[in-house]
Parts: sequence; structure tokens; C-alpha cells
Amino acid sequence: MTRSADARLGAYAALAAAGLVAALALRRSELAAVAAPFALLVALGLQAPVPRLRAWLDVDRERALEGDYVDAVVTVRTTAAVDRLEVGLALPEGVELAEGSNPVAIRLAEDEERELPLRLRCSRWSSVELGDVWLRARDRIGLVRFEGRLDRRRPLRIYPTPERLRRLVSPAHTQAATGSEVAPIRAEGLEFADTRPFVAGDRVRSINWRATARRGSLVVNERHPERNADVVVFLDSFAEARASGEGTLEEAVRTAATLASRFLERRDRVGLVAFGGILRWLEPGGGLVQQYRLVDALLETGVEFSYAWKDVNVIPARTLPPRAMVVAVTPLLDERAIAALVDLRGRGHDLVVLEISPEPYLEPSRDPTDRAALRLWRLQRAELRASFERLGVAVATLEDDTTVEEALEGVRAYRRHARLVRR
Amino acid sequence: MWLAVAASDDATAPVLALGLAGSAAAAGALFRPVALGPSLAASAAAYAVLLAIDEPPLDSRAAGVAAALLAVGELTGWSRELASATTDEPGGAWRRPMWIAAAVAGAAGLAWVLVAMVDIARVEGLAVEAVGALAALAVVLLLVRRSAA
Repeated sequence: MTRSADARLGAYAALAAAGLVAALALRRSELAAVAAPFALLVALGLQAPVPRLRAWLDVDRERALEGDYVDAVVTVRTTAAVDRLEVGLALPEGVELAEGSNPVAIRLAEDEERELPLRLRCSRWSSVELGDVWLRARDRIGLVRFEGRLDRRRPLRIYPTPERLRRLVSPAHTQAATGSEVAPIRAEGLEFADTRPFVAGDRVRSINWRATARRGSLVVNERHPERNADVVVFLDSFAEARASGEGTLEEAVRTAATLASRFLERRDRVGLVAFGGILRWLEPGGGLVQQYRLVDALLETGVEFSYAWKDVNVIPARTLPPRAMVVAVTPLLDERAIAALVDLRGRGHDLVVLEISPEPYLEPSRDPTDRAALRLWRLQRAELRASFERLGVAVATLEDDTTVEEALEGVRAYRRHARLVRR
Repeated sequence: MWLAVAASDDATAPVLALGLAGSAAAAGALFRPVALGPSLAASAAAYAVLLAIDEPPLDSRAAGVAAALLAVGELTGWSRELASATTDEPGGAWRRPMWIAAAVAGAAGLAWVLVAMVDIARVEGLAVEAVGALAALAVVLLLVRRSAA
């Protein structure tokens, strides 16, 4: 532990020395009497022994959802009595104190162990390390302090709370494996598609007896099979709009996590491309393990500033399988991300753009020039959205009061009326 | 202020000026701890000036001055502690004021004993008073112990 002096130590020592010197110089014993208590305090204060302290941290879990409460217990133990011990647990961004005192000052007797329970609230998704414990001890006189930091860090992953979605966007193309998406092709399945005349090799159970009786010849039912799809969540992390601790990236990650978990529940294969200053990707896969992988990758995502121009060529080919639906979650602020999305559409990918609106994070201004600039900027963004729609890409905007469900309904409505052109 | 009132006409102005400077520095020490040293030094200098100008034979107010200076130093430290974000555990908040009261009383007692010892060396009245007070205290303690037995 580091030993440091309180401001009083220097003041008392200087006063004691000056008092004794003045007593000699002025031949006034009263000044020595005034200085004596301070000299005594300094002498006693410097005798403070180094405290022998141990501290550790217990956290009840390593994974939590946004809004969850985590119970942590800081335990301190001493072999020698400490008159005042301040114990503090450094709380990383995204974790708040809900119950308990932090930092707290306690008094420890000899060989005493004390548990300090804390209830922490996970306020924002993040991957943090909890356990930076700092201690500050002093004796009764308090002229000398002993400070130390103990590294008892352990990971805490705070996952974004997925929003409840009733329906998702149906991809234009499905894959060969079984899933929950009704494929447009005709094969073995549950959903009725059409009838046709019997041909050799058709299964007897597929014969439509009523139609056969009406037509006088064998007629069989055709069905749509249930297949899965490949979905790639494209998270734009080039730029973000941010105000008062919240930004578009937080919303984008929450939306991406919601979509990923819902697509995985449908037995689709889901991949991730975090396209930004640092490129992160995860090849499409399915199942619970993939869900954890995806959310862990999302938690690592941050906005890293970069001047380097990047296009879709930097994304590994296996991450973007053919016939995969790409769901882009983006604030549409960076030219590189916009160019990459246009490029993806040009390469024939079924693309959906969920725009995280940066407008709620703008500072309002009464300056006429600023207001004119805002209007121009809004027009520019509307034109950008229109240009995507001209390419056959549905763009839905997530505002402050818009849910992902509402945004997806907009996408579904667009895709119902604007059929995708196969290239 | 107390010293300025007690000082002679010649000493009032410098004692008051130093006392006010000490008070201002003490207020500054609440925000910048480094101002505590000048604050105590200015206040002690006010007393030294009073002694130098008025030249009393043996001033028993030294005990009060020592106690007041220590109270200023300790209260400044305590106020800074209270201003921090640290919360005291229940029942722990009273220990600091008790310690300050005890330290101030101890400082006054020590200074008074020292002044009394000087007086003994001079064989003046204050020493006799001290011996009388100690004797009275001893008698009271003896009576209390006997009644308890």
C-alpha cells in the first residue's frame, strides 16, 4: 500500500517547528506550549503502522441482461485494527449502484473480516470487468494515509434485452435445410401450394381425392416446404450520433441482438458483419451457441475512428453466403457504410436497411442558419432513403418512439408491394 | 477576534489583521488543503505578535490558543472528509467529532500543564493553583473509589 501524508501533517509540523523557533527567538514559553500539542500529534501520527489488509470480490453471476440486478460482496480482512478504512469498488460504465454504500468507511478490529454487500444494476449492454477495489486506511490520528488498489477483476457480460417480435421479415430466398420459413418453391411440406396431375413417382398420400373425383383423373397436392434462411446482420459501426451517454450504436446493437435471437429461434443461420473502423465478422450458424457468439461479438463492437476507405471486398466471402438476406442496422451517417450497402444490393443480396435515426441525439438550435442546415440535412437523408428504395431495398427508420416490430412492419409492407427483382 | 479584543490598543490592529488572514486561509483550506498551513501559521502569528507587543508576564491563554488552532485543523480535515463521496457505516459518524473533542481537550490540557510547569519554575501563583486543582482531583477520585468499594 502507498503511504501518503494528509494536508494536516505538513501544517502541524510547520506550526510546531515555527512555534518552537519563535519561542526561542521571542523568549516566550507560551509559544512552546502552543507548539507542543502539534509536535506530539506529528510524532504519534508518524508512528502509524502499515495495515495488513486483504480484500476480495464475489459476484453472483457472470452474465446478465440490461436492467438486471447483480449482487456483489466485497470482503475485507485485517490482522491489525484499522480505525477508518474506506473501501470502494470502481464501477465501470454500464453498471450502477442500486443498493448499498460505495465507497464506504468502516472500522475494523483486530483479525476482523467484514462483508460489504452491494446490489448493482446493469444499465447498459457492455462487456465489463468488475473488481477494481480501492482501499484507503488511516489510524485514529489520521495524519498518514495508506492507499492501495486491489485487482480482483472478473468479467461481467451485460447482454442487451431483446425486444419481443411477433413477426420477422421473410427472406426472398431460402436454403436447403429445414426451418420455419415457408419457401416459395414446391416440394414436401405443410403449406398447400397448388394441385397438378399425377405423374409416376408421386406419393399416394399426396393425392387430392376430392379433386380427383371431380376431374376423373388423379390429381396431387403440391406444397411449400419449410426451409431455413441465411441471414447476415450488418452492423454499421463507422460513426454514431451520441448525446448524454446514449447513442445510435447502443440502439443498433439492441436491434441487432433482437433480430439475431429471433432469426435463430426460427432455426435460421445467422451471421454478423460489424462494418466499421475495425471489421468484425461471424460466419452464419445456428443454435444457442451461435446466439451467445453473436451477442458476445456485438458486445465487443465499438465505434473506432478510421479514415481508411473500406468496401465489401474486405468482408470474407464465407461470411456473406449467396442468397443470404442482409439486414443492415445503420445510422446512415458514413459514406463507406452506405457505399457498401449499395454494393451488396448490386451483388444481388436481399437487403433490408433498418435506419437508427440520429435525429434524437441532435442538439436543438434556434439559429436560423442551423435550422436551415437541419432542413437540408433532412432532405439529404430523405433522398438517400429514396435512392435505396429505388434499388428495391426497404428502409425502415427507428425513431425514439418506434419499436423494432413497427419498423419491420414497414419493411414487410414495402416488400409486399415492391417485389424483389431477381438478378 | 478573541485575541484582538484582549490585546492592548497597540497590538489590536496587527493581531486582528493576522487573525482575519488566518480565518480567510482556513476558509480556503476547505477547498485547497494546502491553505491549512498558512491559516494556522497566520493565527499563531497573531498570538506571537500579541505576546511580543503586550509582553504579559505569563499568559495562560496559550492553552486556549493551542486548542483553537487544533480545532481549526481537525475541523478542516473532517469537513473535507464529509465532502467526499464516502459514506460512513451506521454508528461510525460520531467517532470523528468525539476524537476531535478529545484531541482539542488534550491539546488544551497539555499546553496548560506546560504553562503551569513554567510557572512552577518561576514559583508563581499559577503553579500553586495547578497543584491545588490536582490535589482536589485526587481527593475526589479517592472518595469515589472508597464509596464504590
